[in-house]
Order: sequence, then structure tokens, then C-alpha cells
Amino acid sequence: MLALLVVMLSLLVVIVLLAAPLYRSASEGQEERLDNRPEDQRVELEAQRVTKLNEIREAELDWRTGKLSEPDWKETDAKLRAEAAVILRELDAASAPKPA
Amino acid sequence: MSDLIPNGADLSIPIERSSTLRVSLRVAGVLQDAEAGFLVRGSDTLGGLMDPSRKRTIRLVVALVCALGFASVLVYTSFSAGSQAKTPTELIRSSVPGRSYQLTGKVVPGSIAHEKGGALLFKVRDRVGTASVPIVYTGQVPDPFRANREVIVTVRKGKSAFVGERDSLQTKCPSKFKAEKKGA
Amino acid sequence: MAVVGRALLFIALVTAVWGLAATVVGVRLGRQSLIQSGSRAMPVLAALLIAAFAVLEVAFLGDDFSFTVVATHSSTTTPVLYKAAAAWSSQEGSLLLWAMLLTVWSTIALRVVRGRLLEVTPIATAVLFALAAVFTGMTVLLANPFQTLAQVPLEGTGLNPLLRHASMMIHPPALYSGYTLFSIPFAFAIGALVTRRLGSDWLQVTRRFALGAWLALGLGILLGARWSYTELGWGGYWAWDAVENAALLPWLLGTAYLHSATIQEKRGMLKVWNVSLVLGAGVLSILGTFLVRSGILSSIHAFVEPGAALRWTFVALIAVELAVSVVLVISRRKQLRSEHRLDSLLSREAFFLAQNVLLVALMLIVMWGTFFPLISEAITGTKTSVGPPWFDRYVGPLALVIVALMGIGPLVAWRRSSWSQLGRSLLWPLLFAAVVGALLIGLVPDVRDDLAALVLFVCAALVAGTVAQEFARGTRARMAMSNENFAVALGHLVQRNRRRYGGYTVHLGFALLLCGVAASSSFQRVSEIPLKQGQSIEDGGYRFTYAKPTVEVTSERVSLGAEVLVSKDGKRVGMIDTSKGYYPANMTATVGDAFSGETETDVGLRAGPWRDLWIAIEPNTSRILPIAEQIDRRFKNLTPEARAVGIVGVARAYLRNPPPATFRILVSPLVTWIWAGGIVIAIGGLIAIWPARSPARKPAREAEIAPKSA
Repeated sequence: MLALLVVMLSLLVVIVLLAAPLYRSASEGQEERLDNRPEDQRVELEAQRVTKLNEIREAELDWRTGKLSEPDWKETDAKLRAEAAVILRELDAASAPKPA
Repeated sequence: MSDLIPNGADLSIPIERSSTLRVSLRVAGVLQDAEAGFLVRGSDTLGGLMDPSRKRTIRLVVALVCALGFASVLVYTSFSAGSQAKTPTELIRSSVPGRSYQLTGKVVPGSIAHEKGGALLFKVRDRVGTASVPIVYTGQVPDPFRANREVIVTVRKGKSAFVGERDSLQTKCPSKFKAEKKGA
Repeated sequence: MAVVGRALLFIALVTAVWGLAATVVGVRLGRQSLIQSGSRAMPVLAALLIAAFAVLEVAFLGDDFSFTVVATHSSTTTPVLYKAAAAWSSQEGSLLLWAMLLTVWSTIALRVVRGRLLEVTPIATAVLFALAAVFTGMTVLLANPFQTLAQVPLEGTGLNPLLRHASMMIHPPALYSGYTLFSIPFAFAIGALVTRRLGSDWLQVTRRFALGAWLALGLGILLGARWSYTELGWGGYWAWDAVENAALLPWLLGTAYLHSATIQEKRGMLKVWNVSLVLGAGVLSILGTFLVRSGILSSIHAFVEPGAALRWTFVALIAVELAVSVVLVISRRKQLRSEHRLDSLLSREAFFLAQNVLLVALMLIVMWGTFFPLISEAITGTKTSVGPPWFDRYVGPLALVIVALMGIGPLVAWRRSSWSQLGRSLLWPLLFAAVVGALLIGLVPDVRDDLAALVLFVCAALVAGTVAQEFARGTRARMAMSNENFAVALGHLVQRNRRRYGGYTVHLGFALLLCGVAASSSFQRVSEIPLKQGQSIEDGGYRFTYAKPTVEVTSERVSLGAEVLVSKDGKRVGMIDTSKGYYPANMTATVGDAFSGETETDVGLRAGPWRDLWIAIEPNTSRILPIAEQIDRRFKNLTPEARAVGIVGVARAYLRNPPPATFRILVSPLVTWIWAGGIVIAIGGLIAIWPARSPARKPAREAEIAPKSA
């Protein structure tokens, strides 16, 4: 009967794990919406910042190794930096402490 | 304000922050470019706006024609170079000398023999049924080859038997094999 | 224990269905708790499937023959490692492995993606749950790995000796990892299409998984090729077999995708291409799994034919995936419009596009040839198949053009390149290639007769030159930007641009691999000849002499073989051992039975940097079998010890009076370059996939500096 015990135990564990979020939200009484959570936004923006940084660096490497002509590079560089500025500004806004 | 450059990075990427207005204008300009759907640079595109799209259409048509031509060559050669798959019954019923066929079936037990000159003789029968075809084969014999195994061999009609194409013998590789009873 | 395994599968199926339902309903109603429950279900599902697989493995390792699959695929005498691998040699076990791998990779993917792509991820999760549910459902309803036998046999039938090879242990898991890993970008592509979030975010996040899938699949394919070369008696590594091709198809699309994804990130172009390539690779991965396991196309891989239900499940799954993909791409085509246009045919974008087209063309050619038996049956009524010559005729030239592109592409600038700029970049690599070409023509006479091979070698040299130049240029650029010496700059360069320089390394590996393929196809020497003891044959510049026969008797098998002396221009090169192993048909029977079971060729391989010497033997048993028959006629019901004595006696008789044996001898140039190229590709891939150290989050700080002017 060890087999039956193992099976029942597994089933119990699975049900508990999967139902926990539902109980938690029911007891807390409110339902958080999917998007617009500040922490998630920060994570997203942070990742975008890293990407932009890499893009800017890569563009410079492209120019230095002859894959991008100088006027093209200047244009791309300016555009990327502008986009980076936007991201930085949004990141600042997301990091600002929220009113209680 | 947060920083683009992490501590310890060896390359500093200065970002112009001094003028918010300039930045936002530039950003707006960049966005506008993208939305427009084409990049306006230099004078060549401004002068003849027909040219790029016309060039593109021509390129597309040329590419499609090439692709179609290539595809038809492909299809034609596959039909003419292919060898028809036949079971022993079908092979007995109709086979044209000179054409190659892919014979599939089971090796008849007791029919395997070695010719003096090194050729392998065996018979192939239908999966279900007894109609069988004699084969003379030269070339590499795969390890799993034995009586009652399923084989695929490319053959041509010969005088008394079907001649197997060199090295074309394949035996289906079973991932498990049953213990064969003696006398089967 | 089988009951536990089966129960775990049931619970797993329910979990998968719950995960799917909870995620879909949660998205529809906007209930975060449901979505959370759904995303939790993935690691839970993975754990359940791992547990079920563990139960199966324990049964194999413990020789539990009450399990049907254990009894039919393993035996007490199978070595431990192959017992473990036998779990996935069965239909049922391999489906369970597929489901398990899918859920493990999905769990990792969801963890990596955590916090990003918040709209796309739930849809992707739902797709992954759907796939997991289908495969788990197959193991529950159609192909139960935990079936038990009413009568437990004392011994299993054992693993086919052909599968007893180290490569064969890793080959199926590697291939399945590749197939399942492609499902992850597929799921995210579907998610991106459904939610219309079609920027490069989803690309960037799932790129690593696509690269991992590509690497795993490539590894699986190469391992299969190596197994074929070293284990099977024909000395080839690729036969354009249906199942081999099935693995190649998604791999080709994956290659195209990995390149054109860069274009979308940099220039917002080729969006339709990218999403189609990813979806295509996902569908083809399921198709590949289907071909391996269904036997609808005749192939040496065709295993036990599955029931119609299993076949139709696969067909339905492929059809649904295809239909959903096509509908989504067509309905989202507005969002998939390019942000920029192709400015010039002499641009990086154009080269990438050309490469995409060529790779897709290759894929379609291989697919056409592979499915031709079914297509011709549908059109003409008879199954017609095309052989390797047809494939080679089309794949060869296309591969050649792709190698040429590999050599020139990295040197072409973005947007538009000028001929002078390109010429300047190409100068040294072209010079190098020309020198190599001249050397080849001068020093290797065979090459003059095969123009195609010569062109390939020259193009490969071009690739090598380009790669070297790129590394040099990049290092010099970095040295100009910082104050490092060459070595340090090189290290940092690769570290900070892993994708690019990993990619260049992969190109180099490919050039090597294709050189090996070209040389071993065009310049291989094959002899098949019976030799008496002491006789020799000359081929490929070498002299092969049948020096002496060998026998070996173990509790598992009897092997008859030969030692072949190899010499070149009178000088001894070495001794190559080759033999053929005979497994008994029944574990407990007559002396003659020792030779009537499965056979296994032990290839004698002497690999070298410039050429391989490959020898297989087909011994003639016609003199010793009568002796075995005599013993069996005189002594019935032999004890195992007496039987062993009899077998040894027969083996000794072979040694005393060896008949001529037939040898198959191959002298193949540059085969080692194929495996070496594969290793270089793997290294390059690892460099590219290795996650960069993510910069730590820093508190706010002001930085007001003028924009950098060059």
C-alpha cells in the first residue's frame, strides 16, 4: 500500500501548490491586475536599458570595424542615445517612491 | 536620476541630458521616421520616389520567376529520377527492364546463400503472403540482415533474378528484437 | 511501482490541463491569481514527469521485468549505462522523455522570462501547456510506459547491440532536447502574435532558447552521423534517410532565424520572416518527432509501428499548429510590416535575406525529397522515392553558395556598402583563399578533377580568412578604445560581443565541417574484396594486408575478426583490428545458436588529421558452422559450461583454418575535419549563448555630458 500512499501524497501536494494562489487572493479580498505593477515595469525598463547600452556599443564596434559608414553611425548613434534617454527618464519615474 | 552606465563598466556612454526639449524633439523625429515606413536619406530617394518601389517590384518578380523555374526543375527530376516502391507481388506483376524499383518486403528464411563470386542471393517476400522474388545483390550487407527481417533494396529486372543496386540494401533497425524460436 | 508511475502520469495530465485552463481563463478574466496558479503548474508538471521518468529508470536499472518495456528492451547482461539509455529506446519511454524535456525547458524559460513580456508570457505558457498535455495524454492513453506483464520473465530480450554505442546514449536526448527547445520560441511567437506585441522584445528574450535548440539539434545530428560512421558497416555518415532529414529541417530554419533575428533587432526588418521561421521550426520539430516515431516513411529508423490513434494525434497536432500559425501571421501582417526598406543589394540586410532564402530553399528541397514517396503516391498512385544522388545534386551547389555568403557577408556594411569598401575588406581573405587554392591545385592532384570540391575549399578558406580578419579588426578597434594589449583586448572583445564572435567561430567550424564533407565525398576510395590470410590489396596509396585472424569469446558474444597490417610506400603505418560480433539467438541453447542471433560490426578505424582508414570485415562462417552442428548433433542439452567449451572449440577451429574473409576498406580524406568542425561549432555556440554578466542595478546618479563625437 506504499504505492497508494505515495500517489495520494503527490496528489495532495499538487493540489495544495496549485490552489494556494487562489486562496491567497480570496483571503486578501482584492485582485491585482495583470499589468502596470511598478516592480514589473522596472524590471522591463532595466532590461531595455541594458539592451540599449549594448546596441550603442555594438554600433560603435560596427563603425570601427568598417560595417557602418561614419555618417550612418553618427545617425544611428544619435537615434539610439535619444531612445536611451527616453528609457532612462521612464526608469526614473518608475523608481520614484510612490505616494502612500 | 538613474544611470545608463553601471559601475565598473569600462566604457562610458554619455547621454545628452541637458536639454529635455531637444531630446524629445529628436525622439519625436526618430519615431516619425519609423512610422513613415521608409528611411529618407540623401537626395536619391527624394528625387525619384518611384525608383525604389519599382526596383523592389522588379526584384520581387525576378526572384519569383527564378524560384518557380527552380521548383519545376526540382519536381521534374524527382519524378524522373525516383525509383518506384513495389512489393514482391507488384514487382512480379509488372516491372520494366532497365527501371529501378525499391523493393520492400521480408527476407524468406532459408533463401540466403552466397555466390562464389561474392554476391549475396536471397528471396524477398510480401509482408503478408508468400509471393517472393529472387535477388542477386552485391555490396555492403547491413548487420541486422537476416531471415524474416524487413528489407528495402533497389533492384533492376535482370535475366533470372532481380539485380540489387550496389550498397542499396537496407534492413529495418528494430529498437528491440524478439528472441527467435528455432525453426521459424 | 508501475502503478505509481501510471498514477503520476494521470496527475501530470490533469496538471497540464489545469495549467492550460487556469492560464487561459486567467488572461480572459484578468485574474492574476489564476495566472499565477497556471504558471506554478509548469514546475509542478515538470516535477511529476521527472518523477514518472525516474520510476521508469529505476525499473530499467533494477531489471524489473514486470514492466513490459523493460522486458522487451533490456536484459540482465546489458551494461548499466545502456540500461539507462534503453528507457528511451522504446516508443513509450521516448514519448515520456519528450514530455519531460518540454516541461523542464519550459520551467526554465518561464523563470528566465519572469517579470518581462507580461502580456505575452501567459499565452506562451498556455501553448506550452497544450503541447505538454498532448504528449502526456499520449503516454496516458495511447502508449503507456508502465504496462505490466502478467507473467514476469526471468530475462529480458536485451537491447539491440547496434544501439550499444556511447553516441546512441546521447543522440536521442540531444535530438529531443532540440525539438522541445524549439517549442519555446514557437510558444512565445504565438503569444507575441496573439497579443500583437511584435517589437523585438519577444525575439530577444527567446533568442537564447532558439540558439540552445539549434545547438542541441545540431549535436544530435552530428552524433547520429558519427554513430553511423563508426558503428555501421557501410562507412558513411549521411544517407539522406527520412529521419535524418527530419532533424535537419527545423535546424535549417533555426539557422536562418538566428541570423535574421539580428536584422529585426537592428533595423526592424524581416519581421514576417522571423516569426514565420520560428513558427516553422516549431512545427517541423513536431513533424520530426512524428517521422521518427510513426514509420510513415520507410527508413532504417522505422521502429515498431504505432497504432493509428498515435499517428492521427500527431497529424492533428501538426495540422493545428500549422493552421494557427498561418492564420495568426496573416491576420497580424500590418504589425509585421518592416520599419525600414532594403536600401541596396550590397548591404548586410540583403545578404542576410539571401541567406534566409537559400536556407529555406534548402529546407524545401530536403522536405520535398523526404516526403516524395507520399507525394508521388498521392499524385500517381505509386510510391516513388529519390535517393542520395538526387539530394546531393541540389544540396551541393546551394551549400556552396551559402559558404561563399559566409565568407563575404560579415564584411558587408549595414544599409549600403560601396564596392570599394567591400573590396578593401575582402582583400586579405581573398588573397588567402587564392593562395590556398593555388596550393591545392599544385600539391593535391585529385583536386584538379573535381571543380566543385576545389571551389568549396577555396570558399572555406575565404571564410577562415574573413573570421581571422574580423577578430583582428575587432581587437584593434577595442585597443583603440581602451588601453589594453592584444590578448586582453581580444578576451574582452569576445566577452562583450559574445553573439558576434561566437557566431564567427561557428562559421569557422562550418567551413571545416563542409571541407570534411566535400573531401570525404569526392575523394573517398572504396574497396570490397575477399582476402586470404597473408593477401594484400593496395588502395588510396596504402597497402592493406590480412595479417592474422582473431577470435574473442565472452559470455555475451563470439567475435571473429582480423588484424590488418597497413603500410604506405613500404613503411609500416600500423595494425588495424576489425571484427564481427555474433550474439546468440537464445540465451540458453546450442552451440550453433551462438552464431544465429544479432550481429555487430566492430569497425577498425584509424583516424588521422588528413585521412581516415576504415575497415570492416565479413567473416566466412561456412567452415565452422558445420563443426558447431556436429557438436550439437552429438551432445544434446548442453550445460552452459559445456556449451562454452564447445563455442571456444569452434572459435579455435576458425583460428586454425581461417577461410578468406571479405573486407570493406575505405580511405576517406578529412573525415576528422567533420568532427573537429562540429566541436568548433559547439564552442562558438557556447560562447554565443553564454549569458553576459548583467550590470548591477545602481542607484540614481546624474550624468550630464555632451554626446560623444568621434
